[in-house]
Amino acid sequence: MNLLTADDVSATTCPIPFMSDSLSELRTKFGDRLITSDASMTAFQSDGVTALSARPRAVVVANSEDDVAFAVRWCYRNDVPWVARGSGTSLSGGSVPIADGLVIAMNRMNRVLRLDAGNRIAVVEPGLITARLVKAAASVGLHYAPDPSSLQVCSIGGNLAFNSGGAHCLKYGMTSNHILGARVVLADGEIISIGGESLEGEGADLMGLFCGSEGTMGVATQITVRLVPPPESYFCVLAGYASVEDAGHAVALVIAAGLLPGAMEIMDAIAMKAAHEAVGANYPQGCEAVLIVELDGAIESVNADKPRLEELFRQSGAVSIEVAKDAQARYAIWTGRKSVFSAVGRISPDFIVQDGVVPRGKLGFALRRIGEISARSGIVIANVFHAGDGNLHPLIMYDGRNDGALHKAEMVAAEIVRLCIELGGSITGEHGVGLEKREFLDEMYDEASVDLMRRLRESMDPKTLANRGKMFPTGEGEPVGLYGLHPLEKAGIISRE
Amino acid sequence: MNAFAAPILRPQSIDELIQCVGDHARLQIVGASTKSAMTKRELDVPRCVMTGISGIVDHQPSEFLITALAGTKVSELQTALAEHGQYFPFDPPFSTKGATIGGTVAAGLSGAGRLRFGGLRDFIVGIRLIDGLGNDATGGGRVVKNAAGYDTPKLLVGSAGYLGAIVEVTLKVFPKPTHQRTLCINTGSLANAVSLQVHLSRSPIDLAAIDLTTDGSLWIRIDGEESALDSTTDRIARIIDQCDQSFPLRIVDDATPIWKPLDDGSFAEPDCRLVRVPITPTRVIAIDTALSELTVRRRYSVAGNVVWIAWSNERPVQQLDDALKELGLGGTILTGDVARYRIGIRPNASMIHRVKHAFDPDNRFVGCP
Repeated sequence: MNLLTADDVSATTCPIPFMSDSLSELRTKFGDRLITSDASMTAFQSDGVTALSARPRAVVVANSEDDVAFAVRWCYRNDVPWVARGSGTSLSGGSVPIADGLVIAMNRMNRVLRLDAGNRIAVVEPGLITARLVKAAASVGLHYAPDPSSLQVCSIGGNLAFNSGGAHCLKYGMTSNHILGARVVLADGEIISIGGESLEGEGADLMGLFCGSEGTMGVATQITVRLVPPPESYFCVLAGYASVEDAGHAVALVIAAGLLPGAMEIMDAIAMKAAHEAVGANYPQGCEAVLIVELDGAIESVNADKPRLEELFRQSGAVSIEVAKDAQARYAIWTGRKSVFSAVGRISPDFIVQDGVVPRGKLGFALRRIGEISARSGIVIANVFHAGDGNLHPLIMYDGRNDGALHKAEMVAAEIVRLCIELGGSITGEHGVGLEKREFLDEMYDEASVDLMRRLRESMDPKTLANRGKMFPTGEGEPVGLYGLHPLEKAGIISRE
Repeated sequence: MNAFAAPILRPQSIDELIQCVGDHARLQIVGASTKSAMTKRELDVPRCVMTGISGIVDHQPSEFLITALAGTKVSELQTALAEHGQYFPFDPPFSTKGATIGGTVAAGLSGAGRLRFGGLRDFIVGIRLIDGLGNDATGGGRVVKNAAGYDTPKLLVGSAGYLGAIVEVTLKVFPKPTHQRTLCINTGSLANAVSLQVHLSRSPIDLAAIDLTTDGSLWIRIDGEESALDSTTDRIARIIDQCDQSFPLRIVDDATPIWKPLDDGSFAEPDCRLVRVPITPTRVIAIDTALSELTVRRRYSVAGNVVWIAWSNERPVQQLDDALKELGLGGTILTGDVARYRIGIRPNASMIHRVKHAFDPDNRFVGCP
């Protein structure tokens, strides 16, 4: 594990060391919820990007908005950088602490404050595990639509901060499309309410701005989410193709036909092999790629679209077509798909998962280029991706025990990010910029655009204390990025997509 | 003779716009001025009309995306999309009146159809603007999924021109359903309509729009394949049958008179201001009780998430302003004669001030609430 120094992690200056008398203010307020011992802080040193790590000076465990505001104001007075942390599952190093800064642990603020079926909303605290939000919504017959793959462990506050995605974004949008309002403690300690409880907003969309701001403006202490009726019907098809390009072509056919599936996912041969070995997923023989397309919605809509989709599959040159006959078969298809990340962990000691976006029409070209990069570098790359929205997740495999292997893998990862920029896409579809991709932000956006973002940040956080060092480039050498398999990924509980 | 001393500027290119921004310490950015109350002429402030910066920049049907310059008419975009069987599901209002896409974003307007898939804010993915320093900046991108940098495209939705001059917008689009149908259910009272609407909007049926009237009519729009429309209609009928009272359901032959008044703002014509106020479904009855005391025409849209009010030009705005404040509501006056377009409570002043300072530190662009 690489321990980052303050220089690595802070964007501009080193944090000012805590003075013992000011730390005593925190002690008085938080008592044993102020953690300063090395042993106890170990759990807070890194996040989903496990090999990126930094030691905070202290951790406070917040129980209330008042606690959060106290800690933020204390940081502001003492010029101490801080990061608010939910479950610590960020896949961009977004919740790695600032060296010698403060961590505000939000995970005890995990209550569902209000379930309002009449208005189809829930008001929750940010530390609530997203899967529990889904369960709470289900208890009143409603559904929280975003489904990031770390659903079982990630928190809604983290989802909001990083505008998390998932497999259903084309039709349902990302987290931001499901957040209606929030109470926020800004970095200078002011408490504000943004958005509201209505589907419609009024005035400049401040809630939209705050979502995905990666903790660099402030921290949400209460969140209002939009709930929807759960889809009552699914139609899930898995088709095998002779090449990834053929599978990509089938996606284009579905789009051109005017269908709007809930999810469209492609896995290449290496990913299929890994899933087969890990969970015994059975994929058709002789295929180089599989495409999963799932229609969802009301029974009437799904029934009307089913025959059209089946006909498209027949025309698409599929080697095999498997329709999930029941919920169990559908579950099996998705288990195979969702197992890929933990599965790759079995066939490679280490891997980097890249998260980039290309225009959907350039998927085939991007995959060919990734194949060439793989062949040239000698590094094996498995591909799974959200084909509906062009969101690539190449898995770059390496053995960290070999000298230079990590560096080489990182160079390959960087090349793929630059490929996404070159093709008019994005450096991140759903993981965020965080620490991992901060050096690419000004490759994707020009100077004027990054300047505007910096001014926005400074308007909320004049001392750049909130999650300092994330999102914005530092100009300090090669992109930071060390990767490894999170223990929960090894166990197959979460995955990086 | 022009009563205004300040000029009207009509830049024909982004370079000319940047020049305008550099040349004038104060500037009012407007599109086609279809939302007349939001674009009321400010004395002594040069008015910069964006309609000359127009045209579709990129439309890749296979990407579900369209990029256009800000002065492009929404109707032109809708025509281009329709040629490929696509549309904006959020029913951008005023498109038949010549509204521009930049103006629609700045006004933050979505129509009745925003119920199912979300509003303009949920479909905007990229923006290009000239900020108060005269810099040409972008946010978001030209892909449907993107988590890089701040979501400035969303922020600009509803920003009313005071953060910067929007020059280009990229929007996600969806395949247009082949058929649509409007159903009318007469429930006899608003209370009945609200209770049925709550019932329906919790069902898994895909409903494109639900509007309510004060006399208890519930208007529902469904869309999809023709075969699905019949079975969806049957299903809605079954849900109604499960209610305590039975209400007649009819398929509307010509739905234009139902949706047009909000689509083009004619709800407030000929002599009223059109006011839009976000609300929540469970407050509809309480809000309506308060508004009925003012004897004003009103309609509840987006399943009770918005109330549209026609407020006579003859009546002082203050009266409605007081009523909305009493209810803890804030909204926008879109058309008609007003001193300022915001009405009712105005929350978030501090954060708006911060954002304004970042985009336009010299306060060049007028219109900040």
